[in-house]
Amino acid sequence: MRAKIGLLSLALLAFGAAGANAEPVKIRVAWVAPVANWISIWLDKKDLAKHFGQSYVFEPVHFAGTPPMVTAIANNEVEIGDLAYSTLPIAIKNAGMDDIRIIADDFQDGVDDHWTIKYTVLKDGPIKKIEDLKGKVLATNAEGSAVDIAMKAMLHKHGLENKRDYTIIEAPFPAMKAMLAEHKVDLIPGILPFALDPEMQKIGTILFTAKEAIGVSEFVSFQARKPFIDKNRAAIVDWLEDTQRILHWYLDPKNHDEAVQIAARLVKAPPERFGWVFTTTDQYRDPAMLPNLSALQKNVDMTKELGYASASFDVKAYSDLSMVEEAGKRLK
Amino acid sequence: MARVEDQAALAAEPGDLAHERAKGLDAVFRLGAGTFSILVLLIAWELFARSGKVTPFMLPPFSAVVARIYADAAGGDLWINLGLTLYRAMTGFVIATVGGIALGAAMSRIRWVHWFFDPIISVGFPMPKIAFLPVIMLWLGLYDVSKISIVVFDAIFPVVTATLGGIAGVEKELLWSARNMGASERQLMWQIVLPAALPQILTGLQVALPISLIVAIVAEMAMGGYGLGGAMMSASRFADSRGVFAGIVEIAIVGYGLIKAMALIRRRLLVWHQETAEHN
Repeated sequence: MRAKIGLLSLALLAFGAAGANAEPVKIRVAWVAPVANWISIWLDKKDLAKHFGQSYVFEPVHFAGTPPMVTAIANNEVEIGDLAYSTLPIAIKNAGMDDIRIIADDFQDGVDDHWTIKYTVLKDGPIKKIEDLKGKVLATNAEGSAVDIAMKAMLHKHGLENKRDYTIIEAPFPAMKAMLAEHKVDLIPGILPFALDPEMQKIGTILFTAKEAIGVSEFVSFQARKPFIDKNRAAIVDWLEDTQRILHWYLDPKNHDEAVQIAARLVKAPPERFGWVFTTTDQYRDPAMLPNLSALQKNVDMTKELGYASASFDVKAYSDLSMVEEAGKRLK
Repeated sequence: MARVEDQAALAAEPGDLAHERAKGLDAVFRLGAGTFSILVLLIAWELFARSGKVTPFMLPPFSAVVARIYADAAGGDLWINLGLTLYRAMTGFVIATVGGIALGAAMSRIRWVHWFFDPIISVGFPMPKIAFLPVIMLWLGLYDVSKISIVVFDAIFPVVTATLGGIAGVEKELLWSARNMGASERQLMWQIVLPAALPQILTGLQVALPISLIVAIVAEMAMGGYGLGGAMMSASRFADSRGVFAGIVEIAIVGYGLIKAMALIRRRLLVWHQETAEHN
């Protein structure tokens, strides 16, 4: 009898231990541009992440652009997407992923004096106005990306259409400066940090900006699929709490010097070139990580009007900001 | 035991109506045998795509893909893309053919040419030459010149090696006899060596032809713009699965057509050869 009670106690103990030590949820988060998508430097401050390794483990996953992310999200190869305003309707309407929910802001473009993407041509080149791009080759990181659609929106306003009037080629952001300098392409999108390269500024001149093309935009936001949210809500809130804490650390002017060192290390460039990081020169990042849904609605409608998404949608209906709000309350 | 269609052919007398009917039956059987497995695959694709086990994004039904191809054909996009891809692939293939045969012939007849190019061919042949695409783009830009250049770069190697092998395999007795009859080196090359090496050269071309198509499409995927490869990449970027699969079907049909055309050309050029007699 005693032996049976002993065995039962052991079994209950083991069961309790297993419950207490449940595997942390794996959260893989996509990113594209180093530093601009600051998820790329999240792990450098993981000491601030209280819940890291407890309720979740975090892994940043790099993509060449947001369009390939759509396939990864469809295959559940990332848990949290970092889709742009242009790829959100592609994922939801073209790819039929009706269960995607916007959960937080990554960054916005063209807010006040903050950074806006600068579409750049050669200073001494033949392109002086947008109409001069007719018959030329334009670089993008990936067709359908936010960078790409903003560019196409501007060209559309000036009567130029893709394939008919210009050719788009895909190239990685770090290679674009060389391609412009070597006259392989006639226009490149100037994104951070590459646009602030002194050599780039020497040879290039801004033809137009994303803000001029499409106004303020919810350029990139974080998303998760509803089944994952329903199953792992607590872990997502923990991740958002830690992420906001790390974001606040990066945004704090007291930590600017260290933030610069971290950014320079990632991009393998001199720290002197990163004085702008997490300042008003940088992209705008909402401290509460709340996305600008009215800007996002305009961006999504525009993507549909340009013919790159089969339909638009009500962005509020595809948002779930309760988790980021709950995470924010914990930090107060 | 002979196959049913062969027995039917054997039973009839030449010139007989029955013989003609048997030949027709034989042709139908051969066509059926050649397409049966494809039909099974397409039916399986359609049924699986409609079964609900996969989303249309992952695998659109074959019928939807066909509808998309029809829409592209009606809209004109298909012909523009197809025309450009074929232009790039075939231009590169023709240049690789002429250059490869010339180089192979020169290597087989001129010692210093062989000495110089043999190591290059030996090292270059097994390399994945598509890896040079970023370099070609950097040096030659992003239009047709770079696409055709990478096609030539990839396709020339099998042509050179096949030409070398074919010429090396020409019977020595043929060469001795021709020389004894007073043939010049030029006559030897054009009237004896190349015709005798032609079967192997054509085999090299049959290897180079699909390589030309594949490389042209991959280059288009990397560089964007018009062409079947560029259209597929663009479709992929916009989660347009029907467009992606339409591209795959179009490429399969084009590839099949080119290979069949090449086989027909081979039979015509080698009408005098034993392999054609055996085939007939």
